[in-house]
Formats: sequence, structure tokens, C-alpha cells
Amino acid sequence: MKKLLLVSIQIFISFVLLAQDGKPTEDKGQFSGNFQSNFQGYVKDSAIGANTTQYEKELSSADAWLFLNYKYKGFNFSLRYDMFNNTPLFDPFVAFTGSGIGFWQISKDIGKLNLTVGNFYDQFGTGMVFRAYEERNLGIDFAVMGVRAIYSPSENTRIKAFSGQQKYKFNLRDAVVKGVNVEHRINITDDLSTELGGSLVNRTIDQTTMNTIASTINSYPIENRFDPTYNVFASNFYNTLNYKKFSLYIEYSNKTPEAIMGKDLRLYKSGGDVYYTSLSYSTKGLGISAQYKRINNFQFKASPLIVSTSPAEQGLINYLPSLTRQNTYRLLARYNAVVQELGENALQGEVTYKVNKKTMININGSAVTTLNGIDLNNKEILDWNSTTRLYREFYIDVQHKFSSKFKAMGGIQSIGYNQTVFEQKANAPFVEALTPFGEITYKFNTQRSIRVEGQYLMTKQDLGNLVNVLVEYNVAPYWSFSVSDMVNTSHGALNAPKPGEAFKLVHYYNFFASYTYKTTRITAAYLKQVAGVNCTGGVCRIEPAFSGARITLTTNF
Amino acid sequence: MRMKNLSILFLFIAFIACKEVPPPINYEASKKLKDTTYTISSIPIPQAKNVLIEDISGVQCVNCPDAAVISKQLMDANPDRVFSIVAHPNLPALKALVEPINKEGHKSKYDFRTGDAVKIIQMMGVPGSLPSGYINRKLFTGETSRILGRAKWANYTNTELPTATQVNIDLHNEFNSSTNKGVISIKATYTSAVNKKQFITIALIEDSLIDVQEYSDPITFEVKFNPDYVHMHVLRDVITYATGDPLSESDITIEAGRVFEKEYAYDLKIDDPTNNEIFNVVPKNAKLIVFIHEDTPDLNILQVKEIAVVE
Repeated sequence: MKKLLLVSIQIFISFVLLAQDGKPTEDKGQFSGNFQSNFQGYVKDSAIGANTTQYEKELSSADAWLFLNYKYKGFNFSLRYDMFNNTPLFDPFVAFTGSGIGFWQISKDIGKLNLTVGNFYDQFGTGMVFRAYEERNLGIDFAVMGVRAIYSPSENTRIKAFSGQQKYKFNLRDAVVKGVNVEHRINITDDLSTELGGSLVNRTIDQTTMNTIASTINSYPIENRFDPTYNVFASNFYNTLNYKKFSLYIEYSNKTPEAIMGKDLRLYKSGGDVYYTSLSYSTKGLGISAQYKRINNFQFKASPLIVSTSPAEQGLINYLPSLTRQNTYRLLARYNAVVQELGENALQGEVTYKVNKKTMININGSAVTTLNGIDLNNKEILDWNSTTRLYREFYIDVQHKFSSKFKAMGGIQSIGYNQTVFEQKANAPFVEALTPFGEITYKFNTQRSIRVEGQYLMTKQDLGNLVNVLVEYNVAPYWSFSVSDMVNTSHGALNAPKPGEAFKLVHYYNFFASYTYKTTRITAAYLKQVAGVNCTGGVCRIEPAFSGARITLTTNF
Repeated sequence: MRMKNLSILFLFIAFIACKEVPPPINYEASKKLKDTTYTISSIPIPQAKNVLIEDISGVQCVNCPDAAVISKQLMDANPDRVFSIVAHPNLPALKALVEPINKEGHKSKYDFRTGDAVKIIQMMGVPGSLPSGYINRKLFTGETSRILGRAKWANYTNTELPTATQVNIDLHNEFNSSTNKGVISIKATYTSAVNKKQFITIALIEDSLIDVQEYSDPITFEVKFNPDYVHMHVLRDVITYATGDPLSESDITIEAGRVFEKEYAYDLKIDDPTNNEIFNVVPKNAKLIVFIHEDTPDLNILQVKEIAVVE
């Protein structure tokens, strides 16, 4: 493995040197890259629960990624150096240290065929049966190490096939994953088109893992034992039908029976499936969409024995999209519905209406229940009760541009959130929260602007009421400064003071500055961040509170 | 179009395969009669660590008699310290080597193949050729597999013998000759703490079975048949589940001074469903081999003892 890496580095360097030494008239190829580094200093604050290992021992952490890419005569060479020093990225409760080649790839276009060896990221359709991706903020790097072929016989048809192993930090998962995917677009008329797709993915468990699975099953009572399988096959079929301003998407994914890990951390044998559909209508000034998804035991990992609350450690082969709104404001994004791979129903509807050139309204509603929560055969399709409810959200905002210098936005969000399920907090009551919010932006001139945002989250559960105010001052194109404070103004069910003691205000302040020069950006912040579920790109993880300093540097070249 | 056909071909090659063989899962009712555990304050002196050679063999395997000779030499050199189980797996992949002989005028009287041997080698790793074996089921330093060729058996046996065991095994057997059934009592005493889940396996082996065996002539290298070959230590049944029963259902960490007392019933009338043959093991040739080993993925045997069915 190390030899292979050395060879790949050598080939990479050789090609770069070859390009540099070539005659001026020759194609020297194209060299590009980017660099990102994060530094965190930890300042212990037991009052907010910032007391993980980094606060006790390591006191600081640093991560860095240097990505290099070189294109030459149809070849594409990529190499990425990763460094993690005491990082909480993979698991927020553990400090991980390691460095080395985190990604390398050689790719070549041969006519209509593209061949890739090494690491690659890819996904089939929405990713429900296969998605190899990186989500750096969550420590996720599910690149596959192997071989991939993409064949495009026509501009409407594409066939992909791959075989490999999933990357895990600087090693590989033992399971072998392989798959094929075919997509084809048919333009029936000018107004009507359809995009068909289908995939088949196979994962084979290695002998050592299977021995442990068999041994675990053999420790169960005889009536609970079952024959596990080395191979599992996941398939899906999907289609997007476009008719004028309407678009209908349907997808069905299925997985053959295998050993899966239940919530009680016992193995069960089960197949699984996912139904997913969305209907959207879009015209000038108006967009309407509705989505539905039903997941039934669709756990698809490199090994069913992997148990972790951190997605980076879970070895997920697929990606199950969330059907809830991805909020950005600090308090609106406090409660997130982590996708329940073992079973959930999810509904979402959204309307975006542009009243005129100055005013726009967004309305969004979503609900997530257990598998029993929605039954299409019942008169009352949605059964929302204490045993079925997982998440619901109603959101509305109105944006208005008063002038070229001044714009404002206001709205309200109502949330219902099953903290016991999503954050695994035993006996935590169901959170009901109402959050009015607003934002104003004023441009002094073409360079200088100020933005003020505020949210007030009201709840009797969890940590109680929280208010957040942020003031941001921008001096384009170089500087940006912001100061914010999120204050816990009253206690909730989980942080009630001891009898006889008064509740003390808890501040989560944030001082932030950034400097941008061309393609380089440096940020520095001193902040306190509340514990909760952090979601990026629909993938979520439970994170402890943070207290300390963050410095980042990113650049492209 | 040619590429399209290739893609379809690739799909078939990638996904169409034979039905897979599942790993061994125990659906058998336990033959355990007694199961108690307690701790003692006075920890006994550790026993000398013994060695189990699991010899994967076949009647059509021409070099297997040579492996048996190596085992015998090691047992003779270390009496009551080295034991052997000769397992004939009923595995299609090894059919050409393990199937009873019926050729050139020679026909096997017995079918030594067992389903239990299959389960053991599925757990340990299926050898690509025979003879092969495992020495205390250990993955020795420098080796990539627990499967070892016979040339390495002596070296690794001698490596294991001087080490100390963490668990003492004491055996007692009561056999009823009128019913051909018996009860074996096992006392396992931990002399130092362990932190890996522990399993116990009881194997029933039979000596002195005279039947035809293929072998390679040491001078001419011709394949020959020995109709009077004496098969020793042949695995006939595993009294526990083939890959072992957990010593403790719940505990993973076992402290020094922990004692497990177990009793298992056994029957010398064997009904192995994998070869559709019911046979009786001769009591005076029968022995019980008891060993304690770690759970997957480690699998190492900590201690092994043998007791004759009829003293």
C-alpha cells in the first residue's frame, strides 16, 4: 500500500516536472490546488459542558488539507495531504492524530470512457444506495479506493461501474463494495422528458468481521439466531418526469436481508427499502414543492458491527437525504431531524412566492414520524402522538427590499423535536419551540455594509429560552467583523437549577473577523457554542459544547 | 455498441455468483448439564501450556499421512502436552481430497467427513491445499494466516510449549458402557485475568480406524493406496457447538481465581446430518479433547486437555 502511494506520488511529481521541462510550444497541462487549515484552542467551560478530552489534556487541535491537481493530455492526477493533530473531527469526544496521503487519484479519458484508479468520490442518483463523499466539517471522508469506469455512449446515457473499499482515516474498511449505475434521458416531446436511472450495489463482508458477527449471533438465545450473509445487494430505480413547469421524481430503493444493528445494539436480520417522491411546480415568481419519503430498515454500512454516534465513524455506504428544511440562522438551526435509517416517514412542503420585485415570501412545513406515524391505508393518514412523533417544523419568512441600501427580513419558526431519539437523551421531554426571527441589512456604500440578525427561541423544554443577536460589519472585499451573543435567558427541563438556587444567565458569545485577499481567506473567532446536533449537507452529528478560539486559513491556486 | 455489450457482461460477472455458504450459526440445543461459576481466593499454580494440532486431512490427500507422522512425533516427544485432532471437512471445495475413496478397486469403509469440521475451518479459514493445520489456532508473528503447512508445525509447537497458560483445565469423565453415553465434567480455573470473551470446545476423536488412505510413495512419488492405514485422532463429533460454547454468556473480562464448572452429556452414537451416516464410536478408541479459546477475531487456544472415554 505504502509502495503504491510512493509510486503514485512519484508519477505525480514526474508529470509535473515533465510539464515544466517541456518545450514552450508543448501543452504543459494545468496545475491547480487548494489548501485549508483549522486551528482550535480550547478554553474549558463546565457551565456550558465544554469539557471533552481536548479541554482536559490536549488544549489545542489543528487540521490541514493540501489538495493538488494536475491535468495533462486527458490525464488527471490528484493528490491530497491530510493532517489531523488532536482533532475532534472524527469523534467530538476523542482526540485523533495522524497525517499522510488522504486521497490520490489517476484518471484518464479515453474517448467516451473515463477510467479512474485510486480514491474517488461519486454517487448513484440521490445516493440512497451508494454515495462516496467528503464532508470535511463533520470529518466525513467516505472516498472509495479502487477502480471506476464511466462510459457515456451518448449525451443522454451514462453507465458507471466501480469496485473498491471504503476509506477510513488513513486505512481502508475491510468490506469490498462494488456497483453499477445506468442513467438515460429521453426527450419525448419539447415539453415532456424523462430521466431514468437504476443502480445495483454489492457489499461483501470480510471473514474476520463475519466471524465476529457469527460469534455475536451465537451468543443470543437460539430463537433469536439467524444466518448472516456475506453479501448484501442494494438496488434502486428512479425517474424524473418533466412536463412543462412540473417535475415529478420517484425513487424506490431496496436492500436484500442482512444482519443490521438495532437501536438496542443487537443484530437482526432484515432487508430494507426506501420510497421517495417529490413533485414540484415552478413558474416565474412562484415555486411549489412537496416531498415524501419512507425508510424501512435501510441501514447500509461497511460493517453492521460499526456503532458510533459520529457519522464519520459509521462507515456509511449510502446517504439518506433529510426532508426537513436546512436552516442557517443559529437558533433556527438548533434542532435538526437526523435521518432515522431504521425507520421513518417524512413529509415536506414548500412554497416560495415573489409578490413583486421587492417582496418575497417563503413558507415551509415538514413532519417526520416513526414508521407507524403515516399509514396511507388509514382514514387519518398522519398519526401524530407521543409514540410516533419525531419532528415537525412550520416556517415562514417575508423578505422586503426597501431600497437599494436597505433590506429586511422577518419570520417565525415553530418546531417539535424528539430529543430522546435525535440526541439519545433519556427521558428528555418532547421539545416544543417557537422562534421569531429577523434580519436587516444596510449598505452605507458599495463597500461598507452592516447586517443585524436576531432570533428568540422560546421553549420550556431542553435548555429553555435562548436569544441570539448578531451584528456584522463588512468592508468589501477584504474585511468582515461580527459580534454575537446567544443568551440562555431562562432554564428548561434539562438545566433546571438546584432547589434554592437561582438560574444564572448563560452567554454563548462569538467574536469573529475575516480577511479575504483574492483567493485567500483568514478567519479568527473567539466563541462559545451550545451543545446540540450539527448538520452539514443533511448529515448530522451530536456535538458537545465548544469554548475557545478558532483560526482558519483557506486558499486556492 | 461493443462497449455497451461489455458493460452488460461486466454487470453479470460482478454480481452473478453461486449461493453463498453462511458462517456457522448454532441452532443446536445445548448438551450442557451443569453450569456454575464462583471465585476462589487461593489461586492455583498455572499449568504448563499444552498444544493442540488441528490437522485438516483427507483420505485422498497423498501427503496427509506425512502430516500425521509429524503430529505423532510431536506427541511422542511431549507426552500429555501435545494433542491432535484430525478433521476431515465435508466441504465441496475440498471434495477431491476428502471424499471417501472409490477407485482402482479401493473403497473406503468409513466416511470421516463431518459438518463440525466444516464449521471449524469456516471460522479459522479454509485451506487451499491439504494437509494444513492450526497450532493452538494462533496467528504467529510473521505469518499472514493461521493455516500452517506441516513443515511449520514442529517449530510453532515448540514455541508454544514453554509459555504459561492463563486457565487450568481439570477433567473428569463418567462413561456408561451399557448405553454408550457419558458425562464429562470440566473445571476451568483462571490463574490470571483475561479480557477477551472465552469459549470452550469439546471434541470427540477416535483412534485406530483402519481404512484405505492414499499416499505418495516416498521413493517413486507415485500415488498409492494403503488399505490398512491406521487413522488416528479422527474428529467424529463436537459435543459443544463446533466453534465452541461461550464459557460465560455475559462476562468478557474474567478475573484471576474465577472457576467455571461445567458438565456435558455425550453419546458415542453419532448422527452427522452432513454425510447421512449414523455410526458408533468404539469406546476404547474414543477420547475427548477439551480446549478453551478466545472469541473471534483472536481465536487463540489458551489451554487444552485430553481424557480417554474408557480409562
